[in-house]
Amino acid sequence: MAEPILQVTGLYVDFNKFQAVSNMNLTVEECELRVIIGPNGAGKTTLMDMITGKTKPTRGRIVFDGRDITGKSPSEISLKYRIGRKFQGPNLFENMTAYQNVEVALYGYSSIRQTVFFRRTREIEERVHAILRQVSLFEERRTMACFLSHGQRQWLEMGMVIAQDPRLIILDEPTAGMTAEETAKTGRMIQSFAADHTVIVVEHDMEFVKQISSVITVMHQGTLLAQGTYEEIEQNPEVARVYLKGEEGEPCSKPTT
Amino acid sequence: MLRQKLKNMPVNRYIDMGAFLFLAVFPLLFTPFRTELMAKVLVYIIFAISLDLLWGYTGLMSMGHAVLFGSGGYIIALSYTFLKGVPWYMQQAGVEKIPALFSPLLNPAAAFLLALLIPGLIAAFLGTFIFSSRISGVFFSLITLALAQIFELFVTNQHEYTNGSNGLGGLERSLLGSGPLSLNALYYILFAVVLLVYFFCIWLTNTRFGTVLQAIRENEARLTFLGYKPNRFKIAVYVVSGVLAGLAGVLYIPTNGFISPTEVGLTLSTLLLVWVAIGGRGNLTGAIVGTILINWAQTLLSEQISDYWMLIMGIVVLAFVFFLPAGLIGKLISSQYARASARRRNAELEQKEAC
Repeated sequence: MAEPILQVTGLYVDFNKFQAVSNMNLTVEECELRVIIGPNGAGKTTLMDMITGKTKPTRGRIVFDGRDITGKSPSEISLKYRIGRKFQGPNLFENMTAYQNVEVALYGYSSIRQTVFFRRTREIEERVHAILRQVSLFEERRTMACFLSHGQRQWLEMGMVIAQDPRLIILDEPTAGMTAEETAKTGRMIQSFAADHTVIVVEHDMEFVKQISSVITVMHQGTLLAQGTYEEIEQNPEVARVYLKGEEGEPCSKPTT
Repeated sequence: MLRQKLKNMPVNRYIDMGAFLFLAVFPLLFTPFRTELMAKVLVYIIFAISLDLLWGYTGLMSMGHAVLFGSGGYIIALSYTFLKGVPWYMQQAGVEKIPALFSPLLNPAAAFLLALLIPGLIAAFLGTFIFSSRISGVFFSLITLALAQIFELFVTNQHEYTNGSNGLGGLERSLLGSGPLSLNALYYILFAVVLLVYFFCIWLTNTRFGTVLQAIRENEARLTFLGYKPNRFKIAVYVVSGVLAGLAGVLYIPTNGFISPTEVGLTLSTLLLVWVAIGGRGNLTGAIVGTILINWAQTLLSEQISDYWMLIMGIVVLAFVFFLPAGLIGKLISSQYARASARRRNAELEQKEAC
């Protein structure tokens, strides 16, 4: 069996003594579609922050494609190691068109010299158009990002991630705030990315998790709780206790008198 | 092909063409007195474009841009002064001959290059220092503001070299040691430089580099996750803007014949912000139109009502801040954009009905 593409071992981070992530382990194989779930505050986004270089872990190692990327800068991680990320909140270039948003994200033209001598050839234009079609925004290519609907904005972000041509795609809550129809469409999009990329999806919506059916990692209180298929997770009593069946038994609930 | 291209041009490019046509025929239609004023406006246009690159496109609001303008201007002014021998104010201060530090200024070409290079170096130094210590937003503005004040004081205090607050006057209308130029010759040289700077900036802002500048303005943090190092771009655009501001300063000397510390400090920096803000940021046209309109309004108003024209200007600025924050051209572009997208939507609806 080949080396896993992403290997996170014994990862810790604390913010002012608050352990956001503690002793987290995660292994993702090449071309896998992995879903990470967990209740609010489980440390999912923090874990993604550490993988993409936004937050530096206090302890532990992140190995991507056989190379240690722990604590490297975001621009190095995206440029050299090719990890692309869609953020949880809206994170676009608002007063720029959908086309420009995707074009800026295109991989391989990020130094000053490359940007000054960049030529908008037919190929480049077609590549941007193809990406816009993939996220069904071709008709909106001349629309400013700030005028797109909420769902379209999420898709535009996914298009930007694809434009980065990454080896690992991280999608943080891609369906947040979407209608059922949009969610289903997003699921199909993600499956089409997963055909030729390694994808990690952080999600909340269980219906959606069921739809894209893959290996699921459950996080709780900053660490790994369980891992398996949807059915296995559904039957796991630990998971049911902390996540599926609500919040009872939370250790942060009021102490009993 | 060309016709299609012209048709797809945004509305503000037509305004640019109109403005340039007006500027091109101006000396033929108006008196030399007016032409002389307009020549100064041409210099200011270059200066305003330089700020638009930095503020309008990249979102870095420099409140002390006159430092770069003034350092270019003072270098050339000193060079013109020294060419006529040791100036009287230096002799009065006990300086018998031109100090070795200033000897390159005796060569007009070297002085010209230095007047572009030094503002560029100041911008590079400031940019490296400011951006690498993660200073951004309003703090960038405040630092540049303080800098303008410091630089103005510095120039005033170096009395034995700069003639202090009296400034340097009697500077002849010549460029690069050309000897005296006629007003019209100077005017058209300035006009040609304006066109060159304009087309250079059109080219630059339309490159991917220009798109990245706008992306820095919109969401700098996101860019780092796309493999960019925004600081390098910010320093680069600051240097380009600095060299252009220096160029404006250089051209200001033969046009105005006089420079004083107010042209390197807060006064001019603030005026510049007003021109660009009222015209509209981030489209070059706004900088051009704003500079022309405000400077003419100022001239005409001060001729009519010399006492309280400043008050009227103040009210106009306030009105813009409250009702037209995007500026004249900014508003025009966004309403054109809204019309175009409404038309597209209607066309789509019609198509659907036809099916």
